[in-house]
Amino acid sequence: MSTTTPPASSSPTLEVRGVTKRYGERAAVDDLSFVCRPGSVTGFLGPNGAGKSTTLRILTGLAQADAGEALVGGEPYRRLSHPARTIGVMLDARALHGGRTGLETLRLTARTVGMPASRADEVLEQVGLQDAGGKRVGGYSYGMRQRLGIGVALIGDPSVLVLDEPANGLDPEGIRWMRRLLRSFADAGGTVLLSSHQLREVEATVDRLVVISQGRLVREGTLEELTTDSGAGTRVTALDPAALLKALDRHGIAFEQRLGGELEVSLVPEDMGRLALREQLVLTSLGATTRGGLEDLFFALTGGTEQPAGADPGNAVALVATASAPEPAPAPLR
Amino acid sequence: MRPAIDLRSFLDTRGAAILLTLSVLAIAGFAALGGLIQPAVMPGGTSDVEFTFIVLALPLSLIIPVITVMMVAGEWSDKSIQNTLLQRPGRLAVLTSKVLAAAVVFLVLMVLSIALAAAATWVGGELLGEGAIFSSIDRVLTTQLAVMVATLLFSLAMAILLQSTVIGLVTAIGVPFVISTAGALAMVFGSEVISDLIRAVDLQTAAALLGGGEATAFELLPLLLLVIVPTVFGIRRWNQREVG
Repeated sequence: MSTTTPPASSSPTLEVRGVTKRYGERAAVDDLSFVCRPGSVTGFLGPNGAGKSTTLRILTGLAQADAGEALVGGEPYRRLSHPARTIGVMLDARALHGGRTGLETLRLTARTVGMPASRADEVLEQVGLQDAGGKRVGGYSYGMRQRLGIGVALIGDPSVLVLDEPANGLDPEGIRWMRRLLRSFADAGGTVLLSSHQLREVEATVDRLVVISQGRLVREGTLEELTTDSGAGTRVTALDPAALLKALDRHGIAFEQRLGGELEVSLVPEDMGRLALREQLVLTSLGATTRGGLEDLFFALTGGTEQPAGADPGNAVALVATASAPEPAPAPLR
Repeated sequence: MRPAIDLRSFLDTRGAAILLTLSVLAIAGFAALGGLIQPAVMPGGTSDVEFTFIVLALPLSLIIPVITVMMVAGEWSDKSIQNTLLQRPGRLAVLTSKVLAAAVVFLVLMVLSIALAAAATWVGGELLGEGAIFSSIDRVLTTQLAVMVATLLFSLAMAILLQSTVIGLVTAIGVPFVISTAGALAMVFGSEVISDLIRAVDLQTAAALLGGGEATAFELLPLLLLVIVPTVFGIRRWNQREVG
């Protein structure tokens, strides 16, 4: 069985440069720019309606940007001479025709992209559907369709993979398989861009993150950089909690209320201490918060208004609240 | 352009296999009905190939739109156009390829239909009746074939414009039926203005006149209104429509 091992030197870079897409008055994507480089897995995160799928459709030529450009190896997707041999794409597993068998689907794809028919059998085995190859796709579970969709993306032996929610519907074994596949693909020099709501899965798979909200880039960087940044806060309690809340509110500092009157504030401890001195507050405890995880980061960057699928509800609290409002209103922790 | 790929992608689905089997059975059945029963009902006891083909035209007026719309617009409805355009991003090339594939299937259907009509006419006329009439075959190859080509062109135009199996089918089958009914009613009521209006969109009649060499410039109007204009708008939409 052949494996997908893209040569590092020739793997193209994915570039999104100032892409804007409007539907009526609403900007689905607003001046978005980021780059995915060879040898890395880039996670593309954002709440529902953030513009992820629109961006991926623009990147793959299925939609046109109103402004800006999305390039695969310096070329727009539609101008690639053999797109499926360069970039494997799986955007929607439901887009596979239900009246064909899995094997027929892959054989037709192989023929379309100019690969030998034997490649279909290889890929069928690679995606773990060798026992279901003769079954019609209409009878597949969603997880099986996801696997077949990834198989369709892999069939041209591409050096770039773009996957939209690839872990949806996969069982734990399937998720592990996908994680290994993407890791080995990137380690062999391939470029991977995947969007997902399954934050734990993203955390376990990606090297870099691109976080968007309301069509705009919120943060881009390595997983390490971003999750470290997200933990730059302070847990604090004061003798007069109401005065502390008022002071934070007056200075526009984001915070979250914790149990026992403790607040998690978006300041480093030194700055919190200076603020307390200036406001003549007596602090009863002060300490840096531990480094946050991807979930904390996600909610912090995207406003914490939505809980993504797969997130732990226990951690899915809004990160901030304002003391002046009767009901704590969410605001981003910066 | 890769019509062979589009032909294969249509033929290897279960829906297409069922549809084509039923189509061939219907064509064979109506050919037999037309060719074999004629001697019993015609005054001379003969069987005429043109009449047999006219009987065959009944199922063909349904089969041609169904196959054409499914081949050209079907992928938009079942969403598989996404994978097609990811693998072949040249949208105009994909459209042209699908149109060519549909034309090939139409050609095969026409050859099969004419052959079956001729065979059934011969069996009915020579073996069961008082003789088979093949002198009208030129009218089959001109007038009747022109009507079938008009059905194909209108179906293609609707598939390209509407890019939906259900709406495309309803339009491609329903509009000619409505127009021919309206034409008959206009003749009954004798309104010339309404008759002319209906003539302006009666593609089947225009095609029959064109095929028979009796057409005037007016007969090009239905071609313009029902085929060329929708196709131009459809191509534009095909090129710009977002997928997903």
